[in-house]
Amino acid sequence: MSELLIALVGIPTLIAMVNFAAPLILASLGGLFCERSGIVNIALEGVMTVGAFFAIVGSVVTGSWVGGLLLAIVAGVAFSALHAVATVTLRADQIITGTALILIAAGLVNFLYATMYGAQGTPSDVSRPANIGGINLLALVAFLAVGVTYFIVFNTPWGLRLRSVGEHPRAADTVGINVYAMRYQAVLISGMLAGLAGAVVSFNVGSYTENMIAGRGFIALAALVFGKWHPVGVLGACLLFGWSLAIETRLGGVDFIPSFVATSGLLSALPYVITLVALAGFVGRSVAPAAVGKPYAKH
Amino acid sequence: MSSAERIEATLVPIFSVLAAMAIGMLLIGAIGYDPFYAYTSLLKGAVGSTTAIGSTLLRAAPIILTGLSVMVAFRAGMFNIGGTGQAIAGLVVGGVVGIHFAGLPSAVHWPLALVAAAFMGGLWGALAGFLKVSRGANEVVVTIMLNYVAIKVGEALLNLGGPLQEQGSTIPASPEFAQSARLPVLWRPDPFTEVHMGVVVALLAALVVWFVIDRTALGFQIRAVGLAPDAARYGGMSVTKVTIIAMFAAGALAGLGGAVQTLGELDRLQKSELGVIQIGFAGIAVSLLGRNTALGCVLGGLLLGALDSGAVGIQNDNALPAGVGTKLILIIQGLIVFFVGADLLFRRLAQNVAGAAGGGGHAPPLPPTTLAVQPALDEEVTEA
Repeated sequence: MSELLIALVGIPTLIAMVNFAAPLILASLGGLFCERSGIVNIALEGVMTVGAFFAIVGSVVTGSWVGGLLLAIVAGVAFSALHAVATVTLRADQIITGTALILIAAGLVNFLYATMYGAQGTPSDVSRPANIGGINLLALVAFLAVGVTYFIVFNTPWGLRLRSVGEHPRAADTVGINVYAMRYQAVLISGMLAGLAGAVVSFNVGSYTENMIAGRGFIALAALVFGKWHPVGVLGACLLFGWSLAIETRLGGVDFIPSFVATSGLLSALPYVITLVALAGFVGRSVAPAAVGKPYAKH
Repeated sequence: MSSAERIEATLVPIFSVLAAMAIGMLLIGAIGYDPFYAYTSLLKGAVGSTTAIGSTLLRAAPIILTGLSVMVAFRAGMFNIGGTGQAIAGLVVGGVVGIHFAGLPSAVHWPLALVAAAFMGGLWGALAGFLKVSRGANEVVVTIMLNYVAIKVGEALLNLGGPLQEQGSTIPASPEFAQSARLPVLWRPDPFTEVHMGVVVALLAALVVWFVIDRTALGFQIRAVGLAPDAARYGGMSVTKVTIIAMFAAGALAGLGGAVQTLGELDRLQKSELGVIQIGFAGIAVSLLGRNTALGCVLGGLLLGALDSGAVGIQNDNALPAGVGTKLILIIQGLIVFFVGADLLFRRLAQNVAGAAGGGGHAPPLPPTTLAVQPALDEEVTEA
C-alpha cells in the first residue's frame, strides 16, 4: 500500500510531475493569449515540434543551451506567423489552418531532421539547462510565466484591449483598437511560448526524435479549456496532466495494480483519458471568449 | 452555382496543389538536390508503370474512405480529426474477426470483417459526437485525444503478453489472418503488387455516400444541421440525433479505411504499424481538396495516393536522402490543406480566370472562406 502511495505522490513522482507540466504550462499560456484575442490555435502541437527541433539545433550550433532556447523562440514565432497571416489577414478557417500547420510542421521539421542528421540522430552531448533539486530550470520559468501572464492579461491596458478584442471585436474596433494588430501580437506571443515549450521537451531528453511531442500541444489546449482560460486554472490543469504523464512508468511491481496494466503500456493512455474526462465537463462549465473562432472583417 | 462559380471552385484546389508542389521544389533545391529529378521520380513512382498505377490505387483506397469520413462530418458541421483513432479501432476489430471465425467461406468472411470494422469505427466516432452534443466538448480536441487512446490501447493489446498477441511468438503482433478473411486480389501488375477489393469498396462507398447525402431525407437533415442548426431545430429535426448519426457514419468510413488497408495488405495486426497510421490526416487533405463532395474525395484520394506512391519512386531513384521523400509529401499535403483553407489567396486569381473563361462578369467582394466550420471551443448546448 505504501508502495502505491509513493508511486502516486512521492517526491520523485512530484518532481517528474513538475518537469512534465512545464512544457504544457508554457504552451497552454500561449494558447491563452491567442484565444483571449479570439483566434483558436490548434497548431500548438506543430509549433512545439518546431521549437523542440530548433532548440537542439541551436544548442549544437552555438554550443550553449541559451542559443538553442533563442533559436527555438524565433522559429516558433516565425512559424506561427503563418497562422497569423492565414487567420487574421486571409480570414481562413482557424481549425483548418491549424491542422495544415501541424502537418507542415511535422513534415518540415522531420524533413530537416532527416536531411541534417539522417540515421545517426542528433549529437549526444548537447548543452542543456541545469536541474535544481531535480526540477528543471525551465520549469521555474514556466511557473514565473503564469504570474507574468496573469499580470499582463488582467492588470494592464494592453491586456484589457486583448480581452475586448476576443469578446467583441466590432465594439473594440469602434473604440479605435486595432483588432488585426492585437490578434497578430497574440498569435506571435503564442508562437514564442509554444516554441519555448517545445524546447523544454527536447532539452529534457537531450535530443530530438520524431513524434516526441506526442500530443502535448493538444493536451495543452485541453488544459486551457479545463482551466477556464485563466492562468491559474491552466496551472492546475497542467499539473494534473503532468502528473498523469509522470505515473505512467512508475506503477510496475506495485501491489493493487495488475501487472498487465503496469507493463503493457496501457497507462500511457492515461493522460489522454484524463483530458477526455476533463473536456466532458465533469468539472463544471467553462466559457470561452465570446468571439473566439470567428474571423473578423473590418468594413 | 453559376458556371463561373463552378470553375472558380475547382480552380482553387488546383492552384493550391500547384503552389504546394512549387514550394516543394524550392525546398528540394534548398537542401541541394535536383528538384526536376525528384519530381520526375515522383511521376514515375506514381503513374510511370503498371506497378506504379497499382500502387497508386492501393494507397488511394484507404484515404478515399477517410476522406469520405471527414466529408460526412463536415457536412454535419463537425470537424473529424479522429480518423486515425477510428481507423485503428476499426482495423483492430476487423483484424480480430479475420483471425477467428476461420471456418467461414471466403465470400462471407472478409465482408463480415469489414462490417465489424466499420461498426467499431462508427462507435468510436459516435463517442466523440456524443461528447460534443451532450457535454459541449469541442470535437477537435476530443477526437484527437481519442486518436491517442486508440493507439495506446491498440499497442497495449498487441504488446508482448497482451490479449491479442500471438502465443509463443517473440514479436508484438497478432496471429495471422485467415486466408478467407483477406481481401480478394483483383489485379497483379507485378508479383509484389496486389491490387485488392479495397479499391472497389472505396469507390462503392463514395457512391453510397453521395447518394445518401444528396438524395435521401437523412442526407438532407445532415446538410441542414451543418449549414443552419438553428433553422434545422426550428424545422423539427433533432440536431443531437443527426450529429451522432453523422459522426457514427464518419467513424464507420474511417474504420473501413483502416480495415481495407490492413486486411488487404498485411498478414496480421502489428503493434509497430499503429503509431504510423497517416490515413486520418490524409483524409482531411482529401476532403478539403475535393471540396467536401464524394466525387471530390475520390479524385483527391487518387491524387494524394499518387503522391504517396511517388514518394516510393523518389526513394527508389535516390533522388533525395533516405526517408526524406515521405516527409516532403507530408509537407506538400499540409501546404495543400493550408492553401485550400486560406483560399482567399487564390480565389481572386481563380475568379479572374473563371470570369475570363465563363464570359466575363463583375467580381463580387470575397467573403471569408467558403469552408467555414469554426466550432467554438465551448458551445451552448440548448436542445429543447
